[in-house]
Amino acid sequence: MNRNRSGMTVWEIVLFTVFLAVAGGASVFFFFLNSEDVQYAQRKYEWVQQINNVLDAICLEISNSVQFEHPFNGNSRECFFRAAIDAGTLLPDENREGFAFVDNNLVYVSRSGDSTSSLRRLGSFENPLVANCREGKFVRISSDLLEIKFIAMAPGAQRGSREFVRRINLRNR
Amino acid sequence: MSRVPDEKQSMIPLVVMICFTLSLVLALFYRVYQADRDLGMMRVAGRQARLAAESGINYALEKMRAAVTASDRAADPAALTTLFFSENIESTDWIKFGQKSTAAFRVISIRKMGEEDNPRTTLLDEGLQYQIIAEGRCGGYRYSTAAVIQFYDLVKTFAVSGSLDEYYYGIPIQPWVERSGGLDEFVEANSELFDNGRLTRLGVCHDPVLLHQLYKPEGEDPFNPIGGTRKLTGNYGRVYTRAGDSPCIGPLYCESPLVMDTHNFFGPVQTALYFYRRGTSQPRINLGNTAVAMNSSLRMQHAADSLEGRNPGDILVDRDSDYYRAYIPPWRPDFNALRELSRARGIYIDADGRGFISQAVLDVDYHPGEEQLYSDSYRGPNSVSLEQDEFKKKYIVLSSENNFGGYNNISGENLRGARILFSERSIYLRGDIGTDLVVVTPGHIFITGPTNFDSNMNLLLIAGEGTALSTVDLERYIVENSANEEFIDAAREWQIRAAIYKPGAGVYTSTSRPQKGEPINFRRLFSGRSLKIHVHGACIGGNLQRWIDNTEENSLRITHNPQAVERLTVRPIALNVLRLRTRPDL
Repeated sequence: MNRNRSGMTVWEIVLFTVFLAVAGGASVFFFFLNSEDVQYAQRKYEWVQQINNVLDAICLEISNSVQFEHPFNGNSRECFFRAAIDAGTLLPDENREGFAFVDNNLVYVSRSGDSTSSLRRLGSFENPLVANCREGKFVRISSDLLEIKFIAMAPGAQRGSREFVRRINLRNR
Repeated sequence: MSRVPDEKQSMIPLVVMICFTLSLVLALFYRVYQADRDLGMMRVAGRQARLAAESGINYALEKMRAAVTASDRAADPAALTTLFFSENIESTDWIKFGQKSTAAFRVISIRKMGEEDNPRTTLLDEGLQYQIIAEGRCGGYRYSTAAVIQFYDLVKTFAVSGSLDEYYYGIPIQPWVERSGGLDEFVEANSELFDNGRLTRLGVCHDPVLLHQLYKPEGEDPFNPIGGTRKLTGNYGRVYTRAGDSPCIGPLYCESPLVMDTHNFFGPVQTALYFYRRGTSQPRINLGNTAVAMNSSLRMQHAADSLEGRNPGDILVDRDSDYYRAYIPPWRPDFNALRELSRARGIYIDADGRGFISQAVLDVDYHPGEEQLYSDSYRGPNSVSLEQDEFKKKYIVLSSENNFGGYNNISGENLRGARILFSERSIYLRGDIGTDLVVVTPGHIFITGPTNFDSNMNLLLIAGEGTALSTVDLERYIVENSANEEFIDAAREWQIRAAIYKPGAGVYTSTSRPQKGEPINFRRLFSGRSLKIHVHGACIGGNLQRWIDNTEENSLRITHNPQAVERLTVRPIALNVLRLRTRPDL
């Protein structure tokens, strides 16, 4: 017994190393949490989430449309449809609503007769719905399927871009 | 108290610390996982609430469909009141939706919309529209869906609905399937087309460009090389032609695409898919300026033009049919409900051929019998070889003609005023019927001659396995009485005044036999001539192609009689969602 107490046992060395590793790992982890990289990743996640929420609202609005008018086939930088008038009949409204890729922004527009205005809100989202996006287009894949596709550039000083694609079933056609 | 050794005393705080650290790390990981999961679940819950609300509409639609097929209220669409539906379907209770989710829906309102029928939209009755509102919830999310449901009175609206699909579309993948040696082999060789939904396993094409490649006259083989013995060098359009006159005299509805050469229609045409006019052909509608609803013909034209580099022609190109969906779901009778209805208020004939009226025994002879039958040969949309129907059938005979010693078991007197007759056995039918009658059987109905022609009574034939033609009686009569040419010429023309569910379930003759590699066809039945069929009424579902193949060329006619089932207790009504809007409840 006394012989063992004279120096450090293997056990004690292993434990010391483990605690050192845990302590070191924890401090690195907390530094990492505070770092620019994580904050950047968090901002990017929020940004992607925000665009996905906007796309959800756009998809719902388009699939709710009573009469989808443009694009009829092929692809286009804008789409137009007639929403339902607010009565139980769900008949198409006179005015057309739509979404358009203008000046690298995705905007919600309303078109009546000869004028197009882009000053409206879509639910809780303000115009432009998505800023700084490139190569945006609406593709009419078939008579009842529309695809919306664009590459969004990360905002501010962030680098990188991401492609968003959604397919919408035009169930009322 | 026993003494703990020194080295063990020093271990206790260490063990506690290790456990504590480990549990801390585990708790941290679990928390991070949970936070991520909650965020994900919130998005999923939003989606599920939306889907639940929309499935509420489909639930209500199916309930309405069941109510309409199981009730004799459908006989008078005006009796399909708001109350009739709302009593059974509306509820304040939530109905659970899905297996592992907490999503639920409820149908909160069904109302008949107060519009009058617009005479300009001939294929749509605005007076038969209902509004349904359903709510869906999941987690903290709530959505509500409003929908407009359209009822289609099939017999009143269309002369032919869904019976001429094969006639106007053909069987475009059958030759390839046959040469590949099986459907699976063909699908494997062309998996891309099937995977992205451009082509279904029944050969229905959902893509205008592929449809054009399939049917273009003198086109190349659009499919990937298949195995098998013989290769195909051209497309199906090389063998498919559809010129001449339409057999349908009245409005026509097809669920599959229509592919057309210079062809004459005698009424408006509606299709759920594409209307394709090939090349420079000029199909016509001999109706002046009646409303024409041809879905997606313009889209088809765009596809053809972009491939051929030509401008669209100026005839028969119509925009998408805008104000309603082009698809009309098929009608299916509810045999259990019809059986109950005939037991309670009509004539019920059991599996032994005995009749009952209002559950009392009826003393009428229905001539029960049994025989083995072989049909004509045919090819299905994806058959590998020739097919033939063969069965042993128990039957009864409903007859007003001279057979059976002049005994007429369908006279008004013997029908005792019943409006519906249900037979568990298959039915041979001939002659004129004494009252307005619905004839129902889960088996076959065999039409054996002119039916109900001299009568002005309504007749609806509902056979679960389809309505077929049988010439056995006529052939026997001709042989027994050594009938002359003049008689044969008159007797081979059958006029049928009825609405027929599932027509075209084959042709049966006295020369029927098992096919042995040789196709059996009855085109030259009466010394070189064959049957001529003329239906006055309507056809619903089934496949008239087999009657067309086995009767005299270009002789089949279906002339629309919108009042063909006006006075009956059963009326074929199809229903579908016309428009749908889902909104979050804030």
